[in-house]
Amino acid sequence: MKISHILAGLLSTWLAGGGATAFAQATYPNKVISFIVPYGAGGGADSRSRQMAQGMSALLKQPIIVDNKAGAGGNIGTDFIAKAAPDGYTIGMGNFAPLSVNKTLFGNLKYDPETDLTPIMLIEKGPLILVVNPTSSFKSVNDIVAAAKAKPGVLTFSSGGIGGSHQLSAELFKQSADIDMIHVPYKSGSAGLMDLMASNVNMMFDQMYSAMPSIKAGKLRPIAITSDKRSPLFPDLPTFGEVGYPKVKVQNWQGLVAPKGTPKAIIDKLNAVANEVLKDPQLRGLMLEQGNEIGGGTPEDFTALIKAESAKWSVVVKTANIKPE
Amino acid sequence: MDLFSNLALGFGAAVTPWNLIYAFIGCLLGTLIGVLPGIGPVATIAMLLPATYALPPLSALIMLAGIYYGAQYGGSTTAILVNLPGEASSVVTTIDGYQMARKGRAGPALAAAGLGSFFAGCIGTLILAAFAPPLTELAFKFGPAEYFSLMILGLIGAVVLASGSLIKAIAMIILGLLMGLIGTDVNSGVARFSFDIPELTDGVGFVVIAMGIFGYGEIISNLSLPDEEREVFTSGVTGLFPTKEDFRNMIPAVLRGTALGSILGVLPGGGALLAAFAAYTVEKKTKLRPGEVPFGQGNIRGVAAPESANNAGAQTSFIPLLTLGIPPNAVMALMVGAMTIHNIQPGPQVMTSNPELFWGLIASMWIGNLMLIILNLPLIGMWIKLLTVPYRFLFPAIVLFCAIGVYSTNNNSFDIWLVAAFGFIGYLFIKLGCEPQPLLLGFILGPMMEENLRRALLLSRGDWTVFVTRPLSGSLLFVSLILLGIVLLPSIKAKREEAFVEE
Repeated sequence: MKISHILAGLLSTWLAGGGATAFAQATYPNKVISFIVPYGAGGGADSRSRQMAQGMSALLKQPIIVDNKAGAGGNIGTDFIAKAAPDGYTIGMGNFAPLSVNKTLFGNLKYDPETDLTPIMLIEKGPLILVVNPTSSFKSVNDIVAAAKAKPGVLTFSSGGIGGSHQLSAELFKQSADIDMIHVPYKSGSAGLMDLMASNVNMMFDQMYSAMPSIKAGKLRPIAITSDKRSPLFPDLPTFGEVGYPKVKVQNWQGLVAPKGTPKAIIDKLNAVANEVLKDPQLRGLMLEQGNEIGGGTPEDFTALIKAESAKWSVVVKTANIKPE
Repeated sequence: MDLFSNLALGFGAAVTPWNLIYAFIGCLLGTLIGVLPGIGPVATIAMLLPATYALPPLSALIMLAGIYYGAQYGGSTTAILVNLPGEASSVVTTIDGYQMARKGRAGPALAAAGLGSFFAGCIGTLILAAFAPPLTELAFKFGPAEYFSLMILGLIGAVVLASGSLIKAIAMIILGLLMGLIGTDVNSGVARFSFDIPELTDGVGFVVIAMGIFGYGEIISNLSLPDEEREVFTSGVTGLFPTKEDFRNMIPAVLRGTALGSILGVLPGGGALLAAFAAYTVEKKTKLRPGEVPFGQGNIRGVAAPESANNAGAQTSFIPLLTLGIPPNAVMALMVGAMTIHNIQPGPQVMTSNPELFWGLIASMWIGNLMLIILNLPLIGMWIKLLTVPYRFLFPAIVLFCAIGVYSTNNNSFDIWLVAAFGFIGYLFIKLGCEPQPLLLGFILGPMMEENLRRALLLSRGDWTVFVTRPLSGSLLFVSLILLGIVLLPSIKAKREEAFVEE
């Protein structure tokens, strides 16, 4: 991996040197671009970033190096993007939690997701599915609500950690249905899922792509999905809206962002290129297979989404009184 | 028999000249990466994933599996040669492996690790093919309460690990537990001991501590000696291969390690790691044969058993992935990613919908292990040559590679400073005669223990009796009690002190 860095570095020095002296009016991009992923190598955000970077690099005709700056729930990497030089040579992945939840949750972020970043384009949105163990007596959302009302504070739900989309979806559900359930956090979503399969917890809101294989194999029973409309992959699975909880709409989204102050012309160029990459049938296939909605659109669309999401989740976080203490 | 026809199908699919070449490339890359401390298989596989798009699915998976095994083996190589455990499961290998290297027996130690791993890998693969579904049931039996009790057993076992003073061992475990508390608490989300440094909210990385305390600490201590007293590894390198006597000692250790590893590996969350520690503890508790080197001073069983255990565990840790579709670690998650790229939905149905791929993957694990032994046995001679490099060149190289490695895990220079700080702490430990292995075990087990304790109590609504009323958890605690009794028994205590004096 280091070799690729070194090569890219050499290449960029050569291009930058050559570019600056030979062509005074060098157009963007004329050197290597770094693409910051605020999560570790190997996760969902990382693999999508690498796919996007590969496609964009081919179109921009410049190498794009993916750099993982993981830590603090995505805050370290996102902060790094926010503090980078706004010249278009540092862009990165902007994710649901660091952009719309963590500000309210932690209260002491070193960046302001709404003012320190310039959104480029939404890449995708993915819903969550409420799942239970197949041996569970719960067959519908109403079964769960009835059981929770009969015995408040007894049912348990697992999550991949405090303040993530797993817990937030459940909190939103608790608030809409006015029920009380116990949150059991795990170190990762898959650890929480494992304990659900072992019947140690009652239910979990899991990312659709992660729950799908187990649902198809009959190891998990899906109850409802958090998207607006039913998913073509599970046409029989009702949405929360259909069963009487229209407020339970959750999409875990991610998109491209750049530091605040990046010139508009560069943002527009990156947006055009990224939209082009999203047309790739292979990439679209991968996203659709995971049950995701393909993004795209203008930088303004993505800005509006981030704003709306921040407003929505700050209310949920405050109402549920989720805070690290 | 089904099993054999299935395996035959797998081997038929996996053994093609091209696939063997991919397996070889994977193992070679993996070994090279594993030898560079800190650069783990996860980062490598993530980088190489796009390159595998063009390959047929099975070839891609074979190459990735090769990287995984290669990296694991490479990690043990550095543990033995330069006292640097590349990953958690090779920490125990440093105890006797590095001592063997100091006595000029690095060759036999590396061969023991390689041969033991290969044997364990073969058995692990067979177990995986034959008993995946029942072993999954076993994994389900382990709820939070059982995990907690298992960790208690592991911690008491950690005391046995130490060969020196008992009180120092306990102090090191407790220090490890405290260090493990740094970072965000899973249950409440609060950041502990992080001093508002964002980098510390995820806790201190294992690699950082291991490199600092083992690697840098050792270097500082070596440099503090005058030139002529400094250790020279080359003095009397005796044979590259284990002797007959070595084999006689090794074989039962490898068998015991394999058995332990196969069972514990199924548990997601540190199974393979616990297996390595458990295997070492078991060996230490079995009687020494006449003329055998004591543990902690370069006993070959102390290398063979944990290495077999962690490799067997690495095999059986595939079980949750194959039967449930839940990846047990980041490397496996990447393998799942590789499958989806090739339009294969991972999960339980792979076995029936793509039997060729499923059994091919199992066969490829075996091929990976075999390739590794073919690759590494001849390499042993080369690794040993590495030790003949004068120390004034070797130590800056180790320092540099550690720094590169640790930087590459998070691309953050903060970690390099942290390694440096731990280097001084490690030097202090050497001066004080404190062994670092119990510290690392406490560091790894402590947070898991706390997490599971609190989760078990959350699920039981605060009822502490779950730990004894759940049969599996109760029995584990009972065994811990017996083990504690053994540790505290005066006669054994006397023996421990005696062993300490001998040193």
